[in-house]
Amino acid sequence: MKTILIVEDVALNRELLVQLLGDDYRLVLAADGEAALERAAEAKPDLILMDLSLPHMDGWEATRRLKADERLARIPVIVISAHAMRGDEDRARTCGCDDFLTKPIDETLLFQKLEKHLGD
Amino acid sequence: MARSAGRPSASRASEVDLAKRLERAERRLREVEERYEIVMGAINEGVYDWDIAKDSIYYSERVQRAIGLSPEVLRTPEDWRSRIHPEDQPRYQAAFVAHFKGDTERFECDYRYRALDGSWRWARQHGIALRDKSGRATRMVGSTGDITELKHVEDSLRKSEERYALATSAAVEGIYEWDVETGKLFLTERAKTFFSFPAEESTPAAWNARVHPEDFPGYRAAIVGHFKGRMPQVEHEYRIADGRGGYKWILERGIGVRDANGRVTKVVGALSDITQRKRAEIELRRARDQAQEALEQQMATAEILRVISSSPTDTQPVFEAIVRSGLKLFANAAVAVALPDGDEVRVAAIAESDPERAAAWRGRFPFPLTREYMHGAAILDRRLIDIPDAQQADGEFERGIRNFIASGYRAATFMPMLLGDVAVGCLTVLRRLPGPLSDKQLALLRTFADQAVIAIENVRLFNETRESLEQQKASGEVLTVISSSIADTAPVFDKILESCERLFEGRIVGLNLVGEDGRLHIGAYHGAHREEFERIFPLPVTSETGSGLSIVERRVIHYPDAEHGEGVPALTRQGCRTIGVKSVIFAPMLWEGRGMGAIFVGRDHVSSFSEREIALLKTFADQAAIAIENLRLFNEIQEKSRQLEIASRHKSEFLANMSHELRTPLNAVIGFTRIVMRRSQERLEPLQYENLEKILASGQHLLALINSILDLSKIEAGRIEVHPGHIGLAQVLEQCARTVEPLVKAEAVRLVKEFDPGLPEMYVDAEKLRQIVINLLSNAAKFTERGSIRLQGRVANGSVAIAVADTGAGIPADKLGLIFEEFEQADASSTRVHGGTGLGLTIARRLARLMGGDIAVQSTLGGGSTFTLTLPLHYGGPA
Repeated sequence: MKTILIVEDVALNRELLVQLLGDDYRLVLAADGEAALERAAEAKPDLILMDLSLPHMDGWEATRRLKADERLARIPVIVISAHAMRGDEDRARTCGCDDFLTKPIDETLLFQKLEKHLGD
Repeated sequence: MARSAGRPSASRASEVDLAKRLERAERRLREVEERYEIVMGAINEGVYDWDIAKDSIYYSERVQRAIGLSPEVLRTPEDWRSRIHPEDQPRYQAAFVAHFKGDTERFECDYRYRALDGSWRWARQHGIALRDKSGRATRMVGSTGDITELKHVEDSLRKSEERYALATSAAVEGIYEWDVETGKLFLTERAKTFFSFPAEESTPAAWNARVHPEDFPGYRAAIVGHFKGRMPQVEHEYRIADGRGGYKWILERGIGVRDANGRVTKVVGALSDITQRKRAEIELRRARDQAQEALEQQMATAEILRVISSSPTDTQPVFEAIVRSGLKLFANAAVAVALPDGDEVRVAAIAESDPERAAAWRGRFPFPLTREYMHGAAILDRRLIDIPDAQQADGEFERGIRNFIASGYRAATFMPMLLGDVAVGCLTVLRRLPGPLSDKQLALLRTFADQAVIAIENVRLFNETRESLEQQKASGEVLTVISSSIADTAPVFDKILESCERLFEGRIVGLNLVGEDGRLHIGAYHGAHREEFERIFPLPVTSETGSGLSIVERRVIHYPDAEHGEGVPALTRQGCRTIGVKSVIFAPMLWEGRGMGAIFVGRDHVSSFSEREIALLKTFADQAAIAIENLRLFNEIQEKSRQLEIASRHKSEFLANMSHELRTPLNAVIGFTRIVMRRSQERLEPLQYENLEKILASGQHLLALINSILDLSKIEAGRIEVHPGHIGLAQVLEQCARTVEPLVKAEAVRLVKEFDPGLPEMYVDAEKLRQIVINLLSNAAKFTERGSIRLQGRVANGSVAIAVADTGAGIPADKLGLIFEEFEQADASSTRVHGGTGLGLTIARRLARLMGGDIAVQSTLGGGSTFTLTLPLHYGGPA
């Protein structure tokens, strides 16, 4: 079973992802950027779902650091953000994320992306 | 744009003003031209201006009077050339060539031309070529006049000379021998016959009796002179009675035969009839005198004209030339040009062959400008005063006449110099000998007076024109500075003050401004004593100061004599004294009736500002007001655009936040609803499942709303770009129809496609086209309960028309205009029934316009609606 790290500060939205993915993946959770880096280093997840607006360290910074870390750089990062304005995706991609989804989450699209990046 | 709102009206006003002044200046220039015409008229010549390169020519109107041919007849240079006598053509051409080559200083040629009546007349043409840098003649200006009369005089002179030559070869008519001792006179028969001299009268006494009494003394003297040995012979011309009641002129040539003592005993000689020669001589002399007089007069007037045209800025040389010429033409006389000055008449120029007399005469000026004096009467009453003999005067001008008798003159003529209805001076001729002036002399005097007037007018016009051009230039320069320094008044103020200094002889010039405290402050100041001047500020905007008074009364305040003038406010008088100003003027700077400040100009001498100067000062004041108003507007606009920028940034931030903050909870709402619906469908009552569907639909509606608002704000901010490409129109329409098909109420509504056969390729942003068409179709689907929805596609004249016609409820006429507005639906309650964000049509129309098209609607209540999207077949760039 593959491991997905979910980085999301809003408990309700974290819970939603848990319910959506919990049956099929091992899930590791983090509520801010710093925690995300720690969890990633510990758990070596197969994929990271990253929110952007986060306390302490935001998702942009966390993604940048993940991608700067040799050991973690190869883990695909899919940003899931409520920042859905034009330019938001570009801004996220410059931090090194591999894919971009807007909230509210389109389930179908999410599953397609997971399939694409996890290759199963 | 920084230039907007109030300013254009003000600048238009000053443009109009400028245009008016330009028109005035042009009128003045025309006057100058007309004056010049009059000058040329005095010698009766027409002015021409020949463009050699284009071979086109301009004639002044006067050419008609000068040579009897109107400019209409003389359209081209060839029109004139063809009138020149064939025999004179080579000479005419040669003169041109010589002048163009630079051999002659000016072109001058007399030649015959065919007059309007077909006769040959003589013309004299002058001209000077204007040359380009390489020295090539490009233009020639000059004058042409008729000299036929002059040629006649010359002609008759020549004829007289011929006759004289003929006469001098006259034959000897008789021989005489006079025996002095016997007192006998012998005459040949031929002589006797010729003089009808009877034989019995053949004595010297009888001969002497026949000699004309006037000529006898001379004759006698000639004889005695020879007898006494003073003259080698007798040779004398005299008149002698011809015995038939007339006289003949004879030339007597004789020689005495002397005895041993040297006494003349006999005289022998010849008598020649020289009557003809004498007549010819007299005629010749008269002709010569006449020609001389005509020539002198012409030379005199021409000389004056030359002076007039060479001194457009100064009358004095002209006056000098007039009196000089006058002196040549009136013997034993003094000639003067006198001009009124206030209540006196002053002498402007005087000429008298005797310097002492001249000084004495000059010393008698000025005379009071009253009717008691001849000068005064001539000027005030504009009449010619002629006193042929002062000793027989009728008692008028007693004092004046005493004056000139005392100076040694007997006769005087005072010719008024008339300009329209006004005499601007008087031309005076005082003569030492009594006698009236001839008509010719009077006419000449009148010509001189006219010429003096022309000179005065020329100078006035010249100065006026120059002044007005300078003033226009100055005010134009200020306008230029105004338009180039909207954000700063200082350059404008400086330019204005600099112009005031230059044009108004301003010793000090300044600009006071009403500050926010309602008091006057120095806005700009050029001149000395700045510190002392600054010390008296700020000043109240009241009648206590010149600036204040001009603002309060909204008019120019002018004190020609600041020290002694009446009603000068004490502060102004004090201020003027402090900075050495004797004369001062204030012009208010007004904007929409509000006083913004005042411009002032001070001079170091007592003087009045002319109306023209006052008008210009007002213009400057207006321009200063414009500059201030410009700056205010500029600042206002700057501030507004800054505020707008902030507001726009706030709006963007707000939209981004709103979007983010709404999406976060929506994520949970939609996400969990879906999970519940998917995992609990079997366990839920149908009604509860439907409720979940409603939650999901509402969530999705909210999401659509957010997306639409973002779309709209992006279009508004101009952040939506058109990405055109080549697409098949029919295919796109098919796609749209398929997309919307599920929304159509399939049982009762038919979706009909009506495309023109062979719809072409379009160059358009396919995504946006799709968005618009789907929006129109889904609206139709929503509002149509039964009947049909027809999707039509047509192409005509490079434009695509896509129509969506439904059989829905239709839109009331009073709502038709509103449906493209944000959040408008025809029936407010319809939102609840039909859903929709209320932004779809707004976005659709804006997208259509973004691509150079539009959406129109036709609808009748209950009769369905037709929305027509028109787009250019080829997108041609941003609208």
